[in-house]
Amino acid sequence: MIGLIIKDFINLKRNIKVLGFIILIYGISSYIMKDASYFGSIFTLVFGLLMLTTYGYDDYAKWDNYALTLPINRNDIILAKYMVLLLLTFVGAVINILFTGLMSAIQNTHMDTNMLRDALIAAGLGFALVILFYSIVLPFITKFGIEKARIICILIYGIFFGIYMFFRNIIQEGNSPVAAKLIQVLEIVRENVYIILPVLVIIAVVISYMVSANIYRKKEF
Amino acid sequence: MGIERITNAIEINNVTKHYKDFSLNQINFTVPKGTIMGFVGENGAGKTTTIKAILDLIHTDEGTINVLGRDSKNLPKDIKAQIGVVFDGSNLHDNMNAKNINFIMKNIYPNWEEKVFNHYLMKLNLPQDKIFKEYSRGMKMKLSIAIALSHQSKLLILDEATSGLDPIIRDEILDIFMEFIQDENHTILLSSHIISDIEKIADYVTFIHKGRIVFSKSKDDLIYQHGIIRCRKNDIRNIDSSFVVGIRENGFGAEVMIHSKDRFKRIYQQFEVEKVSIEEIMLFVVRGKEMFE
Repeated sequence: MIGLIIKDFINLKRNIKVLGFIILIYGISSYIMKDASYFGSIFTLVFGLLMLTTYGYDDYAKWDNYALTLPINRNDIILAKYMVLLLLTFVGAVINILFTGLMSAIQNTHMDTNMLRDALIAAGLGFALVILFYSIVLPFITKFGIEKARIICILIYGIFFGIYMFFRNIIQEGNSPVAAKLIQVLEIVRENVYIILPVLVIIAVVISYMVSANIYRKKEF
Repeated sequence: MGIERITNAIEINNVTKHYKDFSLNQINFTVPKGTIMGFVGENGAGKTTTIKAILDLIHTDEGTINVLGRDSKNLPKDIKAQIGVVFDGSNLHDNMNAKNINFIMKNIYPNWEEKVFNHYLMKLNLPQDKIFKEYSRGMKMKLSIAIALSHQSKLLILDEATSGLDPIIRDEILDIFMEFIQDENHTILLSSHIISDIEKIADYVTFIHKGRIVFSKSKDDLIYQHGIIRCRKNDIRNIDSSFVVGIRENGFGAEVMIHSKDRFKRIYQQFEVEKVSIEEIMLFVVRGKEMFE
């Protein structure tokens, strides 16, 4: 199975230059705008997007047909994809943290512990959101293939964004009891973020993996 | 069960698979260990579908398949590691090179032999650093074959591995297969619509037509038992139809393909029986029969 993970990372090697370029562009923008936190999570998102690229490469080469003749089983192929997702998103989150740290150092912003804590939580949140997003998307890609699943990805992204905007509006409008309740819930989440996030991510990934593996077992090539 | 003990590398029993516009019907044939089985038929006859069934890439509706003595469904990894597969397309990513493949396969095959792989790369003139996008079709096929031969394979399953290649490369590849089959525990299933390749190297020939197996026999028996006679159209009436495989009529007369050549010769001494090729047998079976009916 390690071979499958290596295969995806070798395929992504070509994208390193593009990623370097993106980091540079955002670095300059952050410097001009004097705010790094806004861009940090972009990296988690971009690394997450690379996940779709690995599916694109496999699809183009008709890799799965061949991979299934190698000494690996169908579950291995799915498991390897989830490992790649976790690794990619993790690397994205690490770059996010490094980027935020580097930018504040360049801009001479004094970073106190509270700010550091917030930056870490933001990175963790970005990580969790990307993983949650893919936990929903990967079973669709497994079922329909990357080409058809692209539309579904956009749709799910839209739903995520819609939910976010919905809650944001409620909170911004202010004084309703719903808003108060919501803020209260968010506070609880914020305080227990170290527990809630990992648990949520693990549950989502495990369920998603089980659904994908089940779909893939029945698939024909 | 060890490979030494089995007699057939592949056994296919009554395999049926229905699609909307195509069906594999009651496929039965065996590939004896230590032999090369040529799997022939026109495009769309069901060769690739059968191979996919053998490799458990599709789920069959009926029947069973044994590969190296085990049920082909969910073959254990140690058995899969002994099978080398080459498909029509290379199925490898365009932006990789042979070095990358070596690294990947080293981490997939427990029995991967880096030295053997490098030896084949040299022998087949395959550059290690060139990405596959820049490989020709022939080079891609040769690379796939090099992979298939670099993990102590006992069984090679090749789907149209020589199609679309020039005669020189094809010959080169056939030589490698002949070298591989020298070990009595090695077996090859080679599907192709290039009959000359099959005639050159196969011990057995399985012919599939419209999703059905027409015959699965030893190549020598096929060639020995069949024959063609050239006669006038009127003479056809005098031949017992149970001998006739197919008839082709032309302006001057008719060509009749018969089987059971020895018995035929004893009964019909007036006809000169000519030798046939596998290709002619296929053409008479498929096209001659339609005319005969």
